[in-house]
Amino acid sequence: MELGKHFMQVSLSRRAFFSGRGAQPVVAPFRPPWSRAEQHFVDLCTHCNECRDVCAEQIIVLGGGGYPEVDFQNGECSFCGDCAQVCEPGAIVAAHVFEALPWNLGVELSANCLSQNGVMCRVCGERCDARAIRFQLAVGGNALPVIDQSSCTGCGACIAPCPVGALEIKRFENEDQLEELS
Amino acid sequence: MSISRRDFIKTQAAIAAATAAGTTLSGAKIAEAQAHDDTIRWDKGACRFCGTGCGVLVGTKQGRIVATQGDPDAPVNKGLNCIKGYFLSKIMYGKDRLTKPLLRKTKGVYDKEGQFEEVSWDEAFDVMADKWKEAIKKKGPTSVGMFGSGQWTIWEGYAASKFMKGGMRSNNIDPNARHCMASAVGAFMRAFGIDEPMGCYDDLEHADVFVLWGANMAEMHPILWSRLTDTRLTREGCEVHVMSTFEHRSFELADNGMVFTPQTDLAIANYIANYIIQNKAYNQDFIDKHVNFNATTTDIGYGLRPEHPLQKAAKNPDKGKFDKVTFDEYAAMVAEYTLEKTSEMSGVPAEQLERLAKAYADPNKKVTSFWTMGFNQHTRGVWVNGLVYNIHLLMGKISEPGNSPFSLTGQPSACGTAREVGTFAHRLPADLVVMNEKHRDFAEKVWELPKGTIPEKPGYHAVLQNRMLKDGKLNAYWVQCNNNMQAAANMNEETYPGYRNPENFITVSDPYPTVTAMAADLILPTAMWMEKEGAYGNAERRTQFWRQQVDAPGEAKSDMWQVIEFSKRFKVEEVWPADLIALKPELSGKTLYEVLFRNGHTDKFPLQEITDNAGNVYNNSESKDFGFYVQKGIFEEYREFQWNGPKKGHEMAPFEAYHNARGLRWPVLDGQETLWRFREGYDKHVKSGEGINFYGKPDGRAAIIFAPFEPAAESPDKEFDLWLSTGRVLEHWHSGSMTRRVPELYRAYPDAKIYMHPEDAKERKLKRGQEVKIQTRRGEVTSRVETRGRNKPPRGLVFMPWFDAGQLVNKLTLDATDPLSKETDYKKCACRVVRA
Repeated sequence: MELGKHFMQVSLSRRAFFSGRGAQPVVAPFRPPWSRAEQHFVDLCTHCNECRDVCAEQIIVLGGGGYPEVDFQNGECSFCGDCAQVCEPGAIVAAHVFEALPWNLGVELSANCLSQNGVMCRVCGERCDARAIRFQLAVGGNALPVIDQSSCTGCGACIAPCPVGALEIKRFENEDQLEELS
Repeated sequence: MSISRRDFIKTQAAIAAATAAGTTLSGAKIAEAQAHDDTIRWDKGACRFCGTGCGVLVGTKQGRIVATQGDPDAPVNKGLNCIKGYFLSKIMYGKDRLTKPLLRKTKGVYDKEGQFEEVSWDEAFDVMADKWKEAIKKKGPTSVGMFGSGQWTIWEGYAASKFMKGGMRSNNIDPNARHCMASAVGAFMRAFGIDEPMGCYDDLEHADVFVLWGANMAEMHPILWSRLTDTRLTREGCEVHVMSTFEHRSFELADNGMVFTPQTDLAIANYIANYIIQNKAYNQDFIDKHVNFNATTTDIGYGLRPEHPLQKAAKNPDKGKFDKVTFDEYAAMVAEYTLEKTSEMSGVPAEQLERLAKAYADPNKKVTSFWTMGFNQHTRGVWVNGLVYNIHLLMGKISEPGNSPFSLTGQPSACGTAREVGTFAHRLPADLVVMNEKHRDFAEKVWELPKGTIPEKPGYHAVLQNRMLKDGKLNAYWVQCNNNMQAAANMNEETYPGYRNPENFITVSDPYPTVTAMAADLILPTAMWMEKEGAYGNAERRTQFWRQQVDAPGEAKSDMWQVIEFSKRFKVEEVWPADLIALKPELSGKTLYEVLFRNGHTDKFPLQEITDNAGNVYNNSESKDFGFYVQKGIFEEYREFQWNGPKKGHEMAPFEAYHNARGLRWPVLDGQETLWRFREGYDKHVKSGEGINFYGKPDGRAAIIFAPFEPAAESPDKEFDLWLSTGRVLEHWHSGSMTRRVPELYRAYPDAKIYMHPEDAKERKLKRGQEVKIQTRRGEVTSRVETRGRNKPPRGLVFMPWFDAGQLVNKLTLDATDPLSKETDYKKCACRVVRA
């Protein structure tokens, strides 16, 4: 995956996220990857639905106000960039600025997690191509999930398969992303 | 309806996908809410899935099971669960649950080419009984047969076996455990003269060294794996050796992980014996007192049809005879398996093999060996099971805490029902066999049948049943509690043709419209798991009971009810010859129901209210229908085989004891369970001063049996250039007929895929996720390539799970079997993978 190297960029807010600082409750919907900051996004978006139609993974759906948003229950983002390519008004930023992170999303595990409650389940780890979710064998015998936020791409592959919905996509402070492009 | 093979497979895939749609509330949230809900009644039960035998607490509210949780008081799992066990409460509530008998009909009458229509139980059994009587009249009792299950409860298996062997006078009853544990049984009988492991799960906390031979416990026995993991992480010096033909999740814990070339486990085991002998590490005293040496007949073929070239080429097809040899002769036989040769054959680096051998040979290390289908589903399965016993016996590392050759079981009651009750084509309850006149006499005495009722000749085993159906020799056939159309190897050539053979009438009992059910002529809706009072026996000889928690939906009835009810349709005159009835004239004019079940013996326990210690009252549907406590009557009759029969060692406690205990490990003597058999101090059958007594054998000695390496039935060649191995995944149980109907489990692992080495994929210009065709000489299946994830095959081997009804991998597999155990090798055949 060519885009992979960009995810290795140091992200201060990401660091803050997994060190326990700066995690924000989800308020605004999740826009497609490489979307501009929320205010600019809604200003620019013309509701043309092209991004939704082009999404091979079918994770872009029509949300509130007719704006496109990502529903991770439908699948995962492959970061193909097609949605950005077709966005004429530039609400989603086209391929030439892909140097930026697609979004500042990560996952958070709730106390529901089966593995942390004596049930052998490693579904999320199996789905994580970025290997951000790993399972460590532990005394007591169960393997416990460990999330490395620095390698999490926020692709959402782990969200829908989790049998108890214990994983949630979280957004964190947007410091170093696309704000400056607006 | 003319149903083509393609059609019914497509239908099946659609059904599975449709029923799995939809989401539910978080299971953990439910459990949390319910812990505080005192309107839920909780009772103990045993998990429906694998052979581990976890205890679960079953929560029932308003006639519906709403939750389950790992039972903290269960010694097996101590409150833990695997993901399948966690969702047990949902397996009974798939949207396409069958609630009425379905018969293929055209214009109101039975027609093999007709469409399924709902019928009454009366009509279903009328048509079925006609077909059975017709078959018996035309061709005798060998034309009827039954295919049962290691998931039957103890009494279901017992009732079916008694009905077939004592009623129908046909030994053509075999369980799906033939596909799973038959090789293990064969090796136990040959080495020890009595079935099942001598050790128990407590070995998991006592061993210094664990060796996995063809078992992926991390996925297939996750609870036992958690106990093993805990020991490895907390016990100083503990080490784990893992052997497999591909790297899997259990390798995560391996101190010595070894990927070997398929079939060379035979060489590796012999090398270890050779190492022990060369280094004089063997336990001389133990060998002198408790062991004898033997060599088995070689070149025994591959259990294929007699006209198959491989079968014709064999010098001693199907021969299991073994002859006594001296220690020196045995030593000379294993001497061939040097470190260099074995390393070359197996592809395992010499230093790794030697490390393994040293662990076994170290007198100060306690070693527990585990294996499952890698050993059992093997054309030399009985041999290779035996080769591991050889190692443990040479060292005397057996029958004591931590020193344990342990054959793990796949199904929840492969031990308790299939093996102990004896639902195999050659077996009778409590380790007796039909070939032995004394054993038959005893069974006929307990069953109050005239001498000569039970036929002497073993019936058709699982693989042979399919061949005989195809050949038109087996015509009336009943499948209960399994999905053999999705399981039996070489489905295209050997299974499907027999089911659709116009000469045959096929009945399938199942809770769901499985692939097998859809191929039948009559489908009977079945009460499952907690919809009946049940009992399972797990891999450590633990017998566990549960009470009926809920009623079955609609007209669904348990397998046992079906068998007993069906027996009412036969008068002895219709199935027995006059000279047999003449030996017991009081039976004339009676139905098989009256002879086998309502006979003043099996029905001696009256109906009683079933309650738990808290005073909750439970239903017992079958007992109410028949008017006596059926489960208790059958279990107590079964105990007569254990306590008064010609073979000791299988003794169980009285019926009531099991409703109170979290299972008991047999033999249960003086009210005490037995943890390690054959050793004084642990096993009450061993007398004071004997030390060790392998009392299954007349001379009290276990048999070390040499067996050489012989090649697999089919290996990769130019045309089919890859090894194909099949198996399971953690999230699904067997053919997925239950787990694929649980939305959470379906989402967790929706469709099967084929695991492949990235270089093998690249060489074939295949990308991860791409659709491919997997082809063998027998068929073709479409799947998607997986080059990452839990399984990492070496170059030249692919692995595919079999749970997916939309990808019937048994169209690919070869029906080559171990000629001794008749168990199919699902782990080795040759395939190729091409772009779809």
